Amino acid sequence: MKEQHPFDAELQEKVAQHKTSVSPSLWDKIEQELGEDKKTSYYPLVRWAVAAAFLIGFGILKYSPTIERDPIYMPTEEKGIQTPISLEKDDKQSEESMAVAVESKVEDVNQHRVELKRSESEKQESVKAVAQELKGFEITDEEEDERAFAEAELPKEVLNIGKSGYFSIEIGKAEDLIEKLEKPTTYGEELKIYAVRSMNQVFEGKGMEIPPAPKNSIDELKAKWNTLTTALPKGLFSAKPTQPK
Amino acid sequence: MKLFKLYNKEGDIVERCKKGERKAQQELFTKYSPLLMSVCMRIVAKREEAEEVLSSVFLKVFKSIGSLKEEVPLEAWMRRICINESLNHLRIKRSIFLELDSEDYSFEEYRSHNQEDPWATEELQRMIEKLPLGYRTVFTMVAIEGFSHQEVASLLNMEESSSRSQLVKARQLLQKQITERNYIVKHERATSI
Repeated sequence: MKEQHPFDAELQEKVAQHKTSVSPSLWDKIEQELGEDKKTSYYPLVRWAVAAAFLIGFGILKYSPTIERDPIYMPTEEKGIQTPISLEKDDKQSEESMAVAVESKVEDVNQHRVELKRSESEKQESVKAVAQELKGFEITDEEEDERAFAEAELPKEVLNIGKSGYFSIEIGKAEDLIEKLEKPTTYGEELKIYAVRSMNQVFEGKGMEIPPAPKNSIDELKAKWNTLTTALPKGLFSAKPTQPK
Repeated sequence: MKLFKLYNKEGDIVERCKKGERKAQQELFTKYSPLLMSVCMRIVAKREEAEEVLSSVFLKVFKSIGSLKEEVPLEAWMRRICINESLNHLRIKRSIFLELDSEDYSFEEYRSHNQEDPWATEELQRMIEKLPLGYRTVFTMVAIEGFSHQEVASLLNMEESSSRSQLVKARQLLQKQITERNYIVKHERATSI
């Protein structure tokens, strides 16, 4: 290291530790600015807190016994509907559908309502057909289906709704749904109608022609299933048919 | 033992500052603000501006104290931030390097700080503060804060040779002032007897 000039050294010794008083208000100014910084740094925490609150609320909605379940999920003695995935037999899967439905509701309820109003006549036709087609499907590989939906380049919300409809619409439930198409009275029903429409869009998007609704005969259902599985794009649904009885 | 305790106390303050404790930040400010204010004053010279710089120094210190390594002395680290902030301030306020030799030193001003001991710290501090801007910047960085001419040249975007010449001129001016100051003090003493 280069030797320091003696004058500099002496001055340094004298001055380096010199202290000058500062205005008493300076700390207040710094503290104020620090406070603003702190506030800014809370924003991510606030966002996380809001997200956490939403999840908790969502959990309460999902598991609360006081939430009225959509009648479409409930097997009713009057109608004698046999549901392959009923709440009694497989409550978990039904809960998933409910979860997706609620999530979708929070995300985009108004958009869905507008969409439903706009395309009422289209809905009447396509939903009937697709609901009929879907009743023979059974989810076996959810991940594979999600990937296939992604390939179909549908928006995420459509995918969710589609999945909701896919989980929900089964033999009997679809019939129930079709019955209620004329007068959708609850959001759950509207949502499922929209879901079926979304499924319909998936098919149409892949160039599949939706055949007219079949009669409830075993042969026709089998024939329909074969048509569907042949026409489906590769990878779209890993579903395997529940053979019509 | 006392030193150990002092070290630990400072270490404790630093650790608490790293956690964002407001009280620790205030303790750090109380302890170091007068020292750093002097550093600022030696470059910025004007009190109001120096406080402005000091404020941004502490904000920077609190913001980046988390990255301070244990082996780095706190005071040296803060002094370095102080120098950088003062230089930044000068760059914003004016182009110091165009006016390195343009300011005239007012000896009358210097006389207003007349004190008994011409080598008193306070007096020397004032002398440095009253040096022309370029002189005092280079002199403070090299002679007081221990920067090399290479570092100064890099930070001030100037030639190393300019840094050397500014230091020599600053030194000469200070020596001249101190000599004159000594003469005045001696003369005043002589006439008062």
